Amino acid sequence: MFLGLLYGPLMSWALAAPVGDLRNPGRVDPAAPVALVVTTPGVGPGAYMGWVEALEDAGFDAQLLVFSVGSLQATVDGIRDNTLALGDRGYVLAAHGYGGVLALLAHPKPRRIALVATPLGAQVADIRWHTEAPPEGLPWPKNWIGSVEGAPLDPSLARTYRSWASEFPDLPVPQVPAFLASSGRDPVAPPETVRIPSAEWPHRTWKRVGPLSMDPKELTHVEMLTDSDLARDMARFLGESP
Amino acid sequence: MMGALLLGGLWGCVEDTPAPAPHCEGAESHVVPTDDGAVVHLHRHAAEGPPVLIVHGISSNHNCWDLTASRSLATFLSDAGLDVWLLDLRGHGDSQRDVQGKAQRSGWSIDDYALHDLPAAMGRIQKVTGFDTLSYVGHSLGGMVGGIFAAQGGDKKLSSFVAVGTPMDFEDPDPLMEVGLKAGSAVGTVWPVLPSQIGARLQARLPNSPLPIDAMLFTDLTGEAREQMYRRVVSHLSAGELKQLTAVGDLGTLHDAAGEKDHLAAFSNIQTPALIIAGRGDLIAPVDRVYATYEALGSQDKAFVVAGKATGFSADYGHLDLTLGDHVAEEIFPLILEHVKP
Repeated sequence: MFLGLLYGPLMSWALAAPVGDLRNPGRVDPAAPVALVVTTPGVGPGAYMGWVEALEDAGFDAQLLVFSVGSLQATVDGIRDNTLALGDRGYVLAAHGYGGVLALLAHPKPRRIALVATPLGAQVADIRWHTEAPPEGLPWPKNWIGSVEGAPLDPSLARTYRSWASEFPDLPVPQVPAFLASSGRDPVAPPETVRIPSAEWPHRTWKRVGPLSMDPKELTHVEMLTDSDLARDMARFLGESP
Repeated sequence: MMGALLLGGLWGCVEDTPAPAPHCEGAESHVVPTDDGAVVHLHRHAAEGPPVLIVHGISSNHNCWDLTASRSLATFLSDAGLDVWLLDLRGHGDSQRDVQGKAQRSGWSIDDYALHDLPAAMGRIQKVTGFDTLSYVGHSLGGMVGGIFAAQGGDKKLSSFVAVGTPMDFEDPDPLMEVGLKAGSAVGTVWPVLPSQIGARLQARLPNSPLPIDAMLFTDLTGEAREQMYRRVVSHLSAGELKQLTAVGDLGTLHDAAGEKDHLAAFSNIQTPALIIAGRGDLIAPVDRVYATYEALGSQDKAFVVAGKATGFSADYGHLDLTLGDHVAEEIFPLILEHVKP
């Protein structure tokens, strides 16, 4: 009985406790400006090494914010705590996919922000979830998004990802220069879920990845993270003066 | 000089519209004068039911909805009992010449299609069939034209409205779109007409063309249909329509030819039940640009469909796949029938 009384609050605390720690997987350069890469829970940090390389080439000290298993609130709290800690140093922020939604929910204050393949609104047409069973822990079939290094994911957060296809949270509008990239071949964040919801953002640079931007091809959701040309575009944008 | 002669010679080779496809042998042909002195042609696949008017897109003609027996919305709907009328807007397909055989090549805008060609066509259909209203199906520019017509008082003459691959939002122009608009605008100031039909005939002969034209136009068009499309579906572009269209680069949405009235904003006047279809793989009319068409409609009864794998279709439909791709008869035509049938 006593243990039971203790267990409940302890579990609540554990579930709500912020998760996330900063890693510096590449070159450590305390003198360089920080590029904070908010990884997406469910995606392994190794998937971001192309971004780390591109950001370092652009003169940044690239740091990955990596999460242990946690709820939506705990993850958002983790982002907020880590960005607050960086506040005095000044930083730019980059995120891919749902990591970008989580980052915005934390109300960060970066100097510039890049959100790649991040949906900012719900889908405009019904998605046929049943066409193929999604992989464990992720809401989208792999052949729709491509394969990527995975990481453990809180089931409730996976359900939240899935719910964002039809219901989307209100997101704060960044008041700093923002780079937004989306591809028509990406069912997670197709252009209508990125360009239209961000139409009123004050300092937005929009890129439709694919032939209409003179790129060789449209990219899948995972390719939006692994494509080196797009990573360079993003890093170049973040490296520009305010 | 030599170039002009060569162009003229090529033009002479391709200007005539191809002979009707075998499945169209029973179709009626109607030549209809417009109230501003032009002429348009209607092709009728007659049936007992209510009429449906089907309109092609830019630089196209009625064959885009009626290419072969298995790629024909006209046949599909008439088999279901609807009285189908396909229109060649002035300067396109069989409307490249007037009743005296004189060429109709240029000297008009997109507004003229909506305000003169459509009323003439609808007047003829109403007179022949006795129906007061009809269903309207337009592809790309055909959807714009239908929307402009409906928004300016024509709404009451429509029982249903379908726009397929019709973009109306041109904000945030993509780099290739900007290049295309500038090039189109420059060409339009030099030549009264852009002979796209010539390029299409050449492309028909080059199944492995190094130019990425195929990829821009379709993702799901295989076999003989590709060559058929290039031979039968493409018509010239007139400078006037090009000028009005290229102005979207500065205006963000399609405006009238004077650049004063926002046609998209006027779509809120449309109350007709509407179906808007976009292709996930459409690079001419990307989903986000078509979605604005849907959003702008005043109709209470309206639906938006994205034809792509993630939404349960067999392919990510490109611009022309939506009218004549390999899977239209199974996936797109039934959606349209469901919407236009009484």
